[in-house]
Amino acid sequence: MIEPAPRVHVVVVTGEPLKEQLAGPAIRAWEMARLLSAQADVTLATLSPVCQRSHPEFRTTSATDAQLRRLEQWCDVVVFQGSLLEYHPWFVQSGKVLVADVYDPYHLEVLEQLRGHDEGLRARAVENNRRSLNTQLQRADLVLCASDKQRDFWIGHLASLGRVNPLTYDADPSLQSLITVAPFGFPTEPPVATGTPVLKGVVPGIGRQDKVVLWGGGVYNWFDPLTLVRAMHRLARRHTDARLFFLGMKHPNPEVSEMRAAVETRALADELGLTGTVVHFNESWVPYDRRQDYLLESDLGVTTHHDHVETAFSFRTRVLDYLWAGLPVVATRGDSLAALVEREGLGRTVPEEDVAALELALEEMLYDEPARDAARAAVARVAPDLAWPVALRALTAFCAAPVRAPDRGENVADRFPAPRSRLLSRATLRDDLRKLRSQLTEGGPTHVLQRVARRARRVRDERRSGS
Amino acid sequence: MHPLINESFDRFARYQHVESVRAALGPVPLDILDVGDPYGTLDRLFPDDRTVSADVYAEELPPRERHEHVLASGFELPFPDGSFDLVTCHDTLEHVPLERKTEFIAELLRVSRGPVLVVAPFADPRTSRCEEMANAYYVARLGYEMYQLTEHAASGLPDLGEVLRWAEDQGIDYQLRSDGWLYHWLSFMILKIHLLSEQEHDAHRRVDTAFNLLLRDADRRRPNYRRAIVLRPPAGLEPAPIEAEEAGGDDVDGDLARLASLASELSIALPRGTDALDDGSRLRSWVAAHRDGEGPVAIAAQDLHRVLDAIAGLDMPPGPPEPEADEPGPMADDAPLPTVGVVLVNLNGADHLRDCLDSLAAQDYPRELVEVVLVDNDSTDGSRELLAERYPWVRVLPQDSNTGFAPAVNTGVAALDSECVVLLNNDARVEPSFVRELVAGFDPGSGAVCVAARILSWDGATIDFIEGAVNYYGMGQQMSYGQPVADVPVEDGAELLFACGGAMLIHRQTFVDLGGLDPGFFAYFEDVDLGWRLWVTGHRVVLAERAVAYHRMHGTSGRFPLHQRYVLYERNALRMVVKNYSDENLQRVLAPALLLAVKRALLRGGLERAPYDIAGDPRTEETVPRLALAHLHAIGDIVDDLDGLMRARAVIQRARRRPDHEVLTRFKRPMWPVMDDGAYVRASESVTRAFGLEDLFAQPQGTHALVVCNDGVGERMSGPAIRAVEIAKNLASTTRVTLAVPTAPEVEVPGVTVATFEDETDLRRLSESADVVLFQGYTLQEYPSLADTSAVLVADLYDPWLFENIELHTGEVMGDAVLRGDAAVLNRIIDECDFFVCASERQRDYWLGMLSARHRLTQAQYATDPTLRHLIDVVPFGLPDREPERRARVLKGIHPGIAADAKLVLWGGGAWDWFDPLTLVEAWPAVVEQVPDARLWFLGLHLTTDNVKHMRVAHRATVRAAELGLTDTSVFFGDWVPYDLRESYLLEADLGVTVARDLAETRLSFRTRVLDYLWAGLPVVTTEGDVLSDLVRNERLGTVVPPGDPKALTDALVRLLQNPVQRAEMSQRSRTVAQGFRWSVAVEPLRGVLREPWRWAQSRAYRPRAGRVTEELRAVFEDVTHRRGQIISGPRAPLAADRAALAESVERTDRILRDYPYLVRAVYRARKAKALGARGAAAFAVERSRAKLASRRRE
Repeated sequence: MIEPAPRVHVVVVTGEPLKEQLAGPAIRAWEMARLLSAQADVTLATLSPVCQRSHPEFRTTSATDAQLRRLEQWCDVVVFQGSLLEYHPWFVQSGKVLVADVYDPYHLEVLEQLRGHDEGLRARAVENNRRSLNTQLQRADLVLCASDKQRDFWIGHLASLGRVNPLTYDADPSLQSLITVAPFGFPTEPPVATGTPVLKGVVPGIGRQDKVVLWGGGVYNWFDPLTLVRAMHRLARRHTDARLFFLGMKHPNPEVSEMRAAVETRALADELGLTGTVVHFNESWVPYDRRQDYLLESDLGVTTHHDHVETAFSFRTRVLDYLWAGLPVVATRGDSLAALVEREGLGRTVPEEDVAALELALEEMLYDEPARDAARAAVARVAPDLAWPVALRALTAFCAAPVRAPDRGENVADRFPAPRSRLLSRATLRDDLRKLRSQLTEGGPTHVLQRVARRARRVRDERRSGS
Repeated sequence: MHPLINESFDRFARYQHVESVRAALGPVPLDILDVGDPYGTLDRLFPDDRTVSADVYAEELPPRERHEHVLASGFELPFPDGSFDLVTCHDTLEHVPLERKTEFIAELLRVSRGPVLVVAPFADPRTSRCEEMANAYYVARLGYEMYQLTEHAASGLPDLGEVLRWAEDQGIDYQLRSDGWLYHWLSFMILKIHLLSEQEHDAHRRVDTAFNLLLRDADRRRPNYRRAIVLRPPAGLEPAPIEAEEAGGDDVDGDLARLASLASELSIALPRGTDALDDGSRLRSWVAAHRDGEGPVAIAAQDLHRVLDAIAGLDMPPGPPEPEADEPGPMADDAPLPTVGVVLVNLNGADHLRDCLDSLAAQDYPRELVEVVLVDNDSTDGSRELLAERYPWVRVLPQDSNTGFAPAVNTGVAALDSECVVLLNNDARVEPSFVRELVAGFDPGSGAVCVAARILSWDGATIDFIEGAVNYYGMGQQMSYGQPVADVPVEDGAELLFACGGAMLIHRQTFVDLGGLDPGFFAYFEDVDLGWRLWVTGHRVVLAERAVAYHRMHGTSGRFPLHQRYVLYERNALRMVVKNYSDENLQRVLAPALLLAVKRALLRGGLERAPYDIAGDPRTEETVPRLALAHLHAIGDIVDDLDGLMRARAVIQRARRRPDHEVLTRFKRPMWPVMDDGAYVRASESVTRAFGLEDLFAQPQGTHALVVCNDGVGERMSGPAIRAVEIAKNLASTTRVTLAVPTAPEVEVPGVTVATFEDETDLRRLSESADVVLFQGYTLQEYPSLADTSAVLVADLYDPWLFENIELHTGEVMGDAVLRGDAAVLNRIIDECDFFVCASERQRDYWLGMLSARHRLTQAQYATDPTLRHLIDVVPFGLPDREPERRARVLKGIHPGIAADAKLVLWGGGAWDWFDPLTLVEAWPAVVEQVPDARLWFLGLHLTTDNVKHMRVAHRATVRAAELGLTDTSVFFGDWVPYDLRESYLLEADLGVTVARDLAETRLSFRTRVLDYLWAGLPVVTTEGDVLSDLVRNERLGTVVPPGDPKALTDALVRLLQNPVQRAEMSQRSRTVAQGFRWSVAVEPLRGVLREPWRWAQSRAYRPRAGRVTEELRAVFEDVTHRRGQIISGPRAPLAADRAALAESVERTDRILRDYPYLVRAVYRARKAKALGARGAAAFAVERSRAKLASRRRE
């Protein structure tokens, strides 16, 4: 009898809560777990205490340090986003294959997000994120990112960290086996309305026959909703049925505060007398499973942003949502999805802060039927290539036969020695404190003492053997 | 004002207990421990005590004096028995495992020699129910649990009875107190959670403050949320105040029901998306409906009402928490206003202080953003009493003596943590808009970190300060002083050399980084010095014309006699001269400054010359006015403190970000003679003339750029050399450019001064006279000291070398050190340079990644420039501004085998290993088969013994072409051609081709030969993957084929060679596209740097600490070098063997230092310093014992 090949064990780690509403990163982790579960045994672990979703094909759990240690023992591969290595630094020493999913250069996002906050706080936040990302890139056996442009950026990071070296290069001179693109995707199944209408004829001020332009996500500072509101103002004078709907004025994570741009948008819409007539704000966050209702009832998806370094490297998942729902797209130029829209004719792209160009693009995509139909046809043509299974192909292929990076793993451990652990160093003090706290609550002070003693022994042994 | 008044009401309440216990212990300073506090709170309550906090966790807070935080478990406190006078523990007991609670308290008792205070919520069905309800509301609103409350519920609250019984069994006396009336606790928790979920952070904070002000006493009712047990209560502790009985009492069931309804009604009254504090809000109507009733819910409603009203500002309590009128200043639209700390220095200024402080109290700036600190230089005139009585909101920092103005200001600033600091004279008063207007002028993004106010006389009639001037020997002057206000034109935002220290604003961190005011000044000119240093270090000082202060003339300082003031003027002027000029200028200015100081001494002292003639008055003594000798004492002071002064100078000069000539233009009156005495003016003129000082202050001739080219410049130039020459040539149209080349150039570069350098020293010297140095990345490895230049460093990163190097060394055994060294070289470039250019947007993404990894994308950079184009921008390879010219017939009809009408395909350059000429050779037979007159010319594929090592692929291609019988029949391998002749080859060709492999390098590469093709209007056949192939595809300039596919390549070549019409169309488009790639356009981003170099240098100023560490290491290294010189070659060298060993080790480390870049070097430097330090010490000991021996012998 032939034993079936043992299934690879994969842990997917996300920092976001797993609840009914999923934020972008959690959706990504969820889809990764779902796809990988077809070929592997998968556990989706969240670092947040909230884990309210389950799935028949894979396990979900909210992971404590102890649980992560068990999972690490069990698995072959860890695919993680965010701060795993920061909160559980022992992972760096793990012999398992680690895949770092850096779909978002979030240290750049922080620059914009915390603008106007306390300088010290910002500096710390940026520095912490940078350090966290450097640790991830330093350790990862495979790095995933969301676009070619991001990939160029991360290769720079990797080069600075010495990861572009003869070992990685000789293994694959294209460096695809070190860092590869796995963009965001959308479900293979086209969206289906889940129930009663939500927009047309429901939201006061939006009639059944109106044309709805959808802003399909949050309003953060790096976006430029003001130009859009102005363009709608002009458009509505000629087309009385043009409507703009802001889907996400609130973020499901309460720690993401409403940002300046959102406040300004409301103020401008009020000032121009558009609120409730032409421009509509959704005051709550729509559950992940009901987004499609809004998408399906809209006529056009839009996203406008400022020319920032964050913009350049971002991957706007909302554009994917539009395409999933078959909507033509109007977007500001400059990021990788706008390039896709341009290349494939999925809608129109406009220069930054150009009200007239935006108005024209909106009009064309809403009212010029041949142009609109051409864009819709292009969207339908491109859509199959943007589904999750295609987007994550690099990951599924890698997880079928996971390997350590050529410059990581045991054979090169001597050549790239891990920094020596010390009893107490400034850099790890915070981690130690966190650890201390969790050990204290989980095992009490005796447990803590044992661990400290063990660590002291280890350090002493290392010193003896080291020099 | 209570230090915790703005803290959460819950926290405020729990710390009330420790205050009463502390008060009972008397006024002597005590040792107090707070267990379970990660913040350090006690030090704010008891600044005069020594306070220690202990927890298993520490918040990241700056260290404070007289407070210590210890990481420790409450079960094992790391203190001997009875170490503290008082031990407290707030809301920690409930987090201790139930069965170990008494053990925990016993440990607290052990380390206390006095009372122990344990404050915590205890088990009570009502308390638990309230926590449950609050937590449920929290989850409903914020989506996750309040972990403390969850923990309470999970582990159970401690049993009060059990703790008290235990205390009784142990024979420990105790007293019981309580706080947190449960109806308050619940209703305000719900209100606060609501505000939190609505992001109403300001209102959230104000609720706490209002509660703490209004309800702290009303809070003493039962049932309580929290109990405080005072174990071993001190004798002086009064029993707990009687708690009001009217509400609730012991009706537990009734309480529970009322609390539940309170919770549910409140949560209904606080719907989402509403402002709970608005007049018409549902919370308000709930309050209105309930406040007239009876019972605890009604009392809670009344108290909510009081707090809501207080917040709205209607009913703020009497008694000044803060003095100003409650009128928020006009807010800027976007950026939040900075916090401002006002520093006043007072010495017996009681008479003036009222005016000053009252005018500060009337500021229209948001008062919560302003803090006032007064440094009192030991006043004896009742100043302190006045302050304590009338201005309790002023933080007074009493000094033991008159420390002088500058040290006092530094002390004041050190006590602040605001973003900006305002310095104000104590004898000034200010307009209500003063702070706001100063802040309006503050614009760190543009370098304006220091803002001067306009200062008028007390009656506002004349100018006191509007602009400052200084002369070349450092004498400061207030221009337009005493002139009627109306006569003096003002320009808001005007740049000043310095702001008057009597009324100005400065960015606090910048001030601190610069070392504050020079404490060596004591008084006078410290503000001139500050301004001078600000300009030298790349900042700007601007005037805020509408920020107005009124100044009593010399209200405080007029009391000192002239000679005491003059010694300060003279000395401080000289201090500035010695510290702030560049090396070169200091040499020129110091002697004239001293000469004229002597002249001033003689003239001001009214000293006669005649008695000193040989025939003059023979008496040997003369009474000399102290004023004359003040000048000599000033110079004497400088000599006495010269070492310190030179150290201060070194710090400033190291931080220099702006060349001297840009600073000196701001002196305004550099030749101003401080005295109008005719003899002095004449002396001053002749000194100026003799030392040529006029030139020094002549207008500079614009920016001077040094372009470093590391390769020969001549007829046959390599790519890097072409790039350097073209950049230099094109920049020369707007600025002065020097091109530095290693060997004498064979050609002239129009408009550019060409200088040769033989070694690092030469290059360093050249860079010193430049404002901007542009070099190609790797140059820094070869000449590391280039980074020490004060010029703005621009790195040209047109080429991602890393990939090329790895590729070039494929197959070679490369040590890890070498490969890590490569990353280290790149990192050093990233760390050291101010501005970067690269060749394409895609390269820019790559380099941005590297900049990001090295912490160069800072919020300071981002704040001024969110696109980061001031950090890294694109200077692509360019083309000449002219059309290509055919200078000679070179191939067609000339070269054997190439007919005049042949179809010529050109490979326009060399073939390094990332190219793929082999695939082209493989494809070629099929091309010739279909297009018999096709000819392929490889330009620059001529292999020599020199280059073959790095062109293995090319070698294989030539071998293969010979095998296929193509060589010299249809395929030709040419040599490199002179730069000027290239275009003739290009113009003869019909098609340009480039074939590369699919490598990581490809994506980032910039194939300049493709640009050449476009220039000459050649259609292009290229493999895909690089930026120019994208251009070819998007603009339809040729055909793009996949890499490694000979078939596709053949098809593309054949199709184009057979289709002249298509070729012509492509050719047309190519020429158009080429227009956009002219060098004159390409260099544009560099022109920005040349216009305002210092603005680009700022990214350097904001560099992380790594820079400072390097500075330190460098200092260590210099020290080592110095000592090494003494040890090795000094006349009193140690033992010969020792010396040889030392020399060898020094040489070895030097070799390593040379070969290893940057960080590795730093480590070696440090180690070397250590090693040599020990040896140096040994040598010194030997030397000393010898000397001792010798002296004994003499005896």
